Amino acid sequence: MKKIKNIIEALSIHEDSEAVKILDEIGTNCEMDDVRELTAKALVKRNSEESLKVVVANKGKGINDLSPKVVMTTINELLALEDKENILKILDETIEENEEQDVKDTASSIRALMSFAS
Amino acid sequence: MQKITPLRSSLEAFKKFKTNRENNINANGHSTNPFGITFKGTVLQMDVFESASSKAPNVVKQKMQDAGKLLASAWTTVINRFSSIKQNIADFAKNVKTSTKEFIEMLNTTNVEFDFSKYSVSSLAKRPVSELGEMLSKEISSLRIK
Repeated sequence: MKKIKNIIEALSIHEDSEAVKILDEIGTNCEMDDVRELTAKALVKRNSEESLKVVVANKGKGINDLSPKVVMTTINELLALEDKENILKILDETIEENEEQDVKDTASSIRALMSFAS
Repeated sequence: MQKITPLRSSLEAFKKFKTNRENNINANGHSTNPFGITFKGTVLQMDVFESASSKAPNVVKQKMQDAGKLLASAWTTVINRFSSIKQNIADFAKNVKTSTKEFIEMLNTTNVEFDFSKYSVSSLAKRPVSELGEMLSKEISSLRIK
């Protein structure tokens, strides 16, 4: 598990934007909660529009994951971000444009939480 | 008839001795022996005889010879020991050389790879993303098998 953690962490700081794609395809689709949790943290840590979109606007990933543990970790990481410009933009876009109502509702809740937190 | 007195008898004995001596000198005219006395036909040389006074320096000489022998013996022992130590050092050096050679050969033939450096975050971040993706899939698969 230590190796997986290091690989995911390396992808979170990697200069190549393709790292988001790898995390999205392999990490968020893994059946193991621990791997999905690490992947969500890595995507939030990247703090790019592409990476944040993965954890906010996709059903079954990030804040919409089936595992409460993964969801709580993702929310904590989002709240801990110093630069919240990207996440607020993505949340607003998700609330306005996403087709899934569940995803919209979750994004609205997180948006409200972030407003209270800041 | 003359009366034989002790003086006369000794004079006669001397004459006899003198005659014999002269005869001996004539027979061995080249002899250097002033006494003309022979022992079993061999003339003794003067230096055969040792004076009592010459024995004292011989003791010192003997002691010196003994000391010399002792010194030589000690020196031989030292040399032998030194040779033994030298041999031991040479053997040890040979062993070290052989071991080092074997170790270097082992290093050359063995592919040493340290997991902690290979899987450190900093070194992983320098690898291509595709390679990291493969590694991640591989590690997740191995975790599933366990």
